[in-house]
Amino acid sequence: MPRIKKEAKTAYFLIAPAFTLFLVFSLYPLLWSARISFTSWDGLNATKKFIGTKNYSELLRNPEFLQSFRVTVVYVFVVTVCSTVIGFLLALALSKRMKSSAIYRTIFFSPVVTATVAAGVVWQLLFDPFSGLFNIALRAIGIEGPNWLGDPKWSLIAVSIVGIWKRIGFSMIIFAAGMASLPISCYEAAKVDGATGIKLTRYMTIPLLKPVTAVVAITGVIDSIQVFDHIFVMTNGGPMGSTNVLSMYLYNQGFRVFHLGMASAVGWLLFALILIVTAFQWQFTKGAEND
Amino acid sequence: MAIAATFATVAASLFVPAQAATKSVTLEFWNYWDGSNGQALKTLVAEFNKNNPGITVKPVTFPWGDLLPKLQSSIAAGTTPALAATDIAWMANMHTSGKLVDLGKALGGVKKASGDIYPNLLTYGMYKGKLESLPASTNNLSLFYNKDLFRKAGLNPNKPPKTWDEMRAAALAISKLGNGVQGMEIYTGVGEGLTWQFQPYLWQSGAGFLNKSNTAPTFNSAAGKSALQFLVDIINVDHSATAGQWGAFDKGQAGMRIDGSWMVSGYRENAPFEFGTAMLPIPAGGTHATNMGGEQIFAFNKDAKTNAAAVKFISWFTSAPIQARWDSVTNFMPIRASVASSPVMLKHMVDEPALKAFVDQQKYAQARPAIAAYPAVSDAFSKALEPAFYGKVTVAEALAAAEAAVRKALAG
Amino acid sequence: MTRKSRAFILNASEHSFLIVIGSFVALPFIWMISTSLKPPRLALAPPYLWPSHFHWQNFVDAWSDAPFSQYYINSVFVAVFVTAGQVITSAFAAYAFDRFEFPFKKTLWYLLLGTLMIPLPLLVIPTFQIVQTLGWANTFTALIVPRCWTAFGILMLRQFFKSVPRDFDDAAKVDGAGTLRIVFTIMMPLAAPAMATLGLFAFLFAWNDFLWPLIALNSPEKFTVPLGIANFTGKYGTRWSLLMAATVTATIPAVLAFLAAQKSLIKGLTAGGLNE
Repeated sequence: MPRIKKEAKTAYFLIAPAFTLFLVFSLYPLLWSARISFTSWDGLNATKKFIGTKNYSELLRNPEFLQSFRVTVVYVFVVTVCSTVIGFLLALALSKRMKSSAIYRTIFFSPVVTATVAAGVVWQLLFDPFSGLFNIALRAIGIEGPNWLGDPKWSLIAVSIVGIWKRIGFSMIIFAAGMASLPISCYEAAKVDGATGIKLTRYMTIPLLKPVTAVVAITGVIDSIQVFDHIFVMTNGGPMGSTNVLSMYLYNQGFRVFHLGMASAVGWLLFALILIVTAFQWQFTKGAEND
Repeated sequence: MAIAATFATVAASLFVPAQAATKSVTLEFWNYWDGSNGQALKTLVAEFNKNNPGITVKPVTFPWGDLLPKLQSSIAAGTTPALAATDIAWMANMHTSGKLVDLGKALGGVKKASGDIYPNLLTYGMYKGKLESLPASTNNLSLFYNKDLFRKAGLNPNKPPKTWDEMRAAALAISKLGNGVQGMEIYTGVGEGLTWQFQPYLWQSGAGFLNKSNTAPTFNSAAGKSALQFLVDIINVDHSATAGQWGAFDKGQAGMRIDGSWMVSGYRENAPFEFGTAMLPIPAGGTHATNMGGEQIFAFNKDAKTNAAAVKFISWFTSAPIQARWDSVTNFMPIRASVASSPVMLKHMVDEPALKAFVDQQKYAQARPAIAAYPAVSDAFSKALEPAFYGKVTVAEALAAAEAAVRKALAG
Repeated sequence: MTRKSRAFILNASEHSFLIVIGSFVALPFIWMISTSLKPPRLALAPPYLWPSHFHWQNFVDAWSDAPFSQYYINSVFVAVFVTAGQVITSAFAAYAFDRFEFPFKKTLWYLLLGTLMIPLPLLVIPTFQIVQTLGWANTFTALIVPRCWTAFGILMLRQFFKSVPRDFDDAAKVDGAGTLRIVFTIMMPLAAPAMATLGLFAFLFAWNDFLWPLIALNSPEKFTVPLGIANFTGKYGTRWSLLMAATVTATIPAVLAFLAAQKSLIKGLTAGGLNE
């Protein structure tokens, strides 16, 4: 009995710094915004009028919100899957090339290092239908490139490309760190058994990296669900809502149209969504971990 | 070691909030005037500070899109600055905070406070009978055109279009130049940009946007439909403009665009082509109209001493001689008749001929509805119109949807 | 197919993969750097990649447009403290979650993960109100303290601490080491690649953060670099060349941080199990 109590005490002491900050700067604001989501506050007026669950019921029937939800799901899936897979392959390829890897790693990581606003501006220039590099290249081989950002059929693809671009380096680095921490002993044993190349990767590396993959995938989902910066700069949610991800919708409701109550409701629905998805992911990887 | 010392000094000075000034009053003045406008402001403010010992005005510039959230959070937390200048479109909502100083009362009555300021500029300052803000600048939309492209298309570069039909024909001729050149640019993105660019067409055709009391939409009429159809046809029939594209004019890739006087200095410095300006073309049987933009300056309620100093600055900044100098650097338009006729402004007009169109049009500038629901109205309106530009819905459907959405937004 | 030729094909495809992805990733940078060297009039059109002459004046103009040297000092100051704060608090908490059992452990863990999912614009206004109540409005304390923790860091470090065998802890305990000593002298060094990665992310987050400093700061002399750069995209037109020049300059410290973190990463990689 006493041993457990002491253990718990030490544990609480260790998590105290992080949790105090969490309580003050995350939990309280979160609850505050929950309260606001039940009002029709405009963000400026001194009075906040209570309207019950009206914001939520309106949202769930609002076609614009439902479109925003769909757009977000597609974006998250595409960006998370692509960036995780590509990041893994890059880390794998680089782990075998000590000499050139430093340069490559710096290149792959540079998007992570760039402020998203500037990146969004540059990508906007690259996607310009007439003077952007992509369409110039396409024209050189005889294809008339699309209006990447102005055509609702292509806009989501364009912003997804930027999202993947921004995330590859991040997932690569985490996989690299994971690979660096793998126990040498298992590998020596496998090599003795004659395993090399792809076989080694498939049966040793991937399973051993399951915990790391979990981190990459989970944070990938969480990160891309909240995507805002480059979409704000490049398309502002348009055209016709084709890139209107949930946080873009939230921002417009809160800071453009002065419906802060509604914005808070959107935020909470977004939060609930992420919570559910992440709980699933975590359970899934927990099960796999026990192998 | 030196680095540690620097850190320590920085820490010492910046971890502790600034001490309150003893005798003189420091007024923070939040605005979004960047670049050369920001420089002009600094110069003027330095003069004011010099001539008013005991008052120090400190201009703080934020990026345009971010000034509003900044103000919102400061109002909520009670950390408002003494002075601020914001887009007129945000004023209706600023007033609802109930935290602005009554300028009319402080300056001896609304008439005395406003003087010869153009009456339509005062609409944004009035709230529940009180004058709470004054115009710090004003501007309007006119036609910009690329003289080089006009020449190439065989059009007279000194005879810009005067009617809608002439504008459409010119756009068609220029679009035939090929090479990705657009006849004209039309703003079709969701948001206030679309609404404010389209409203002049509504006013010119007689359709109007909202009724006089700002309680109901009037744009869903035959005149309104013809205005929208005009633009939709340019995009989808003539193909002289593309939906979802903006920025080609800056690169010399479009013949015409509608924009404001503030763009003149930018084009003068950086445009890779010769440009001209003209009053907005009007439809047959229509009237001149353009959209009014600009900023309003106001003070947040603090203590008596701060309020008095803030009011003094506002009165000084909006006075004719200061405004004339302000306008001559920023290319903003006169807010008073005495500014328009001052020697400084007249000389400036001669130096920058591109401003003539804006000055001539100022008397036709109309104000957008100064109501708190306007941002929601504009958002709903633009969302309903966007699909029409892409040819996804008919003009009639778009305007009907817009009417329903705007009614809902007005109801709050 | 012989083993040798299979290995060759694998090698070649890996190489092409790296080059293709590398070019894709590098392209916007090359464009950014190229635009930063073009004279303002030619910034947008006609489009060309290699500037005919290098307009270094852009960098001078961008730097002098605002007190950037002050902004850089501010940004570095804030970033260093946030990095230290995040790394330490995360290591403590991760150690607790990985090695200890305690009441409410599962609840607290899910609560933690939950915070990762909160959309930031939602929290800005109430957080600012709290900060103001504490008297920290417009101070560096407001920029540092609220961000001295990260659920992501705790999540990531917990996964990495898993791979540090408990034998090391036990050995240290036998030697009489206290909890803190174990964390600092055993867990952190053994999970060095993860620590370096977390430190890097913390630095980048603090370096590039825009919304919170915008809301929390009023005095221009306290602005951080992203706030300074944002002023190049004004309501009255964007100054492209200056924007690009300022962005290129702002990226340099971040790249340096990355290179510093890389050293630890490479050490870890060469000690790892994948070399053939």
